[in-house]
Amino acid sequence: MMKQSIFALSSLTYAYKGRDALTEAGIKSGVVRLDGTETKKGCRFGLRVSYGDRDEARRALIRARIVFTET
Amino acid sequence: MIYFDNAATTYPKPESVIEAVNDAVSGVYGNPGRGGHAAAMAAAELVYGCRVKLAKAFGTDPSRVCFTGGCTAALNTAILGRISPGERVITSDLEHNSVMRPLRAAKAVTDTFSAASDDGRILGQIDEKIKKGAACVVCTCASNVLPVVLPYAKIGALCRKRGVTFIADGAQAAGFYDIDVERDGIDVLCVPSHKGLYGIPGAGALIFSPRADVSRFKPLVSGGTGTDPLSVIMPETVPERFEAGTLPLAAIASMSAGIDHVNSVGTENIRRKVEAVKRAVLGWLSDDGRIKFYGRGPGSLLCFNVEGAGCERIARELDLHGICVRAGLHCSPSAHKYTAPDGTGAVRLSFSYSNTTDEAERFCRIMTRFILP
Repeated sequence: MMKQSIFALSSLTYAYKGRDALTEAGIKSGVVRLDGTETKKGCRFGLRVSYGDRDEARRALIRARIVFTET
Repeated sequence: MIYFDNAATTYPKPESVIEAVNDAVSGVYGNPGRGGHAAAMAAAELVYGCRVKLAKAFGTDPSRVCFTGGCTAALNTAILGRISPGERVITSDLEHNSVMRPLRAAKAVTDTFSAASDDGRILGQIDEKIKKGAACVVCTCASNVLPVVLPYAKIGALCRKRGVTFIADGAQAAGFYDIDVERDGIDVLCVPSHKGLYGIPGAGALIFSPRADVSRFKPLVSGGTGTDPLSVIMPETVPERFEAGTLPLAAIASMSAGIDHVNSVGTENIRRKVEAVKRAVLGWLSDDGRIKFYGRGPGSLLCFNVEGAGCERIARELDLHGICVRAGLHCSPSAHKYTAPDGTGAVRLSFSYSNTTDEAERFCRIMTRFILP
């Protein structure tokens, strides 16, 4: 299975906003619900990107002023 | 049937809106933001799509669009969430009870300006009241009683210059006029789904401008948001801060399709068509001494009384001829100081893109043959 990176966002809306920002940057991503035990904050949503796109995705989210944490 | 009560709710709804509602209730949709399975995510996608459309339509970011149960709920959230007891608030004399009652409930000290005036005088009144220490302006963009459109962009510019919060009621203006919360200096705009956006009742939105300080607005309702469940307080982030509980998916789907409809027609074409219907009515009836029209300005409606006949009677008789209009005070009692002096209200004709000049002519024929004394 291809290695993936996950960016955790503050809300589902921000996950979609993040997806749109990544799409604009030419990066394919998917909105996913994150495991509460992993985030330590209960239910959260995030963006899944391929591991190879991780650095570019991080830059695109920062450019779009979307706050995230990497899990 | 001729339907001239579109200020209450637009009818008929576009076919695309009906299809969207059907899809939302018969399709596989879960609860948006509650779970990560396909059905919940399909619902979330639908909700986000509507957020994006509203954000584009009204000049803000999707995260600043907060869904509510309607425009009244949005106004309550904005007014009661922002205004503290004893705070001075400037409002107009054309306001609906969806503004006046929350202002009273918030124990605001209201200072009212006369909106049936030219832009310069309106702005002069507002500026004078701001200098007396008002913290907030709350007013409609367009009256639901009289053909009056307030200079909301100029009011917004003044509020921004003076550092005053501007809460705008877009109930009659959304989908009819071009409103951009950032450009027009509106901190928060409240809109319904079921009027000029052609959706069904059951949804509305609080639309914060990109520069509005959302932290100054307290949420009225607390509950689940699908995020941060370990916190016992509502999240700071919008839209979740104002979206406790399950969202009205079918109404949001209808609003989404309704916005597409408005975009495909264009607000300018909607206004042009409505103005043509208004002109047709005025062309037939305005010279008739038995009818008094109140105001001839822009807007999607006309308001009148018939000499020697109560407005409710006129509405009942029109109903017998298959014409739907609304009589009375229209939940905006103070606006009626400009209509019947006896305080009984007036007859309102309110139009939408679906109305035609043929309907206007049929209405006028019925008025002159059967209704006028």
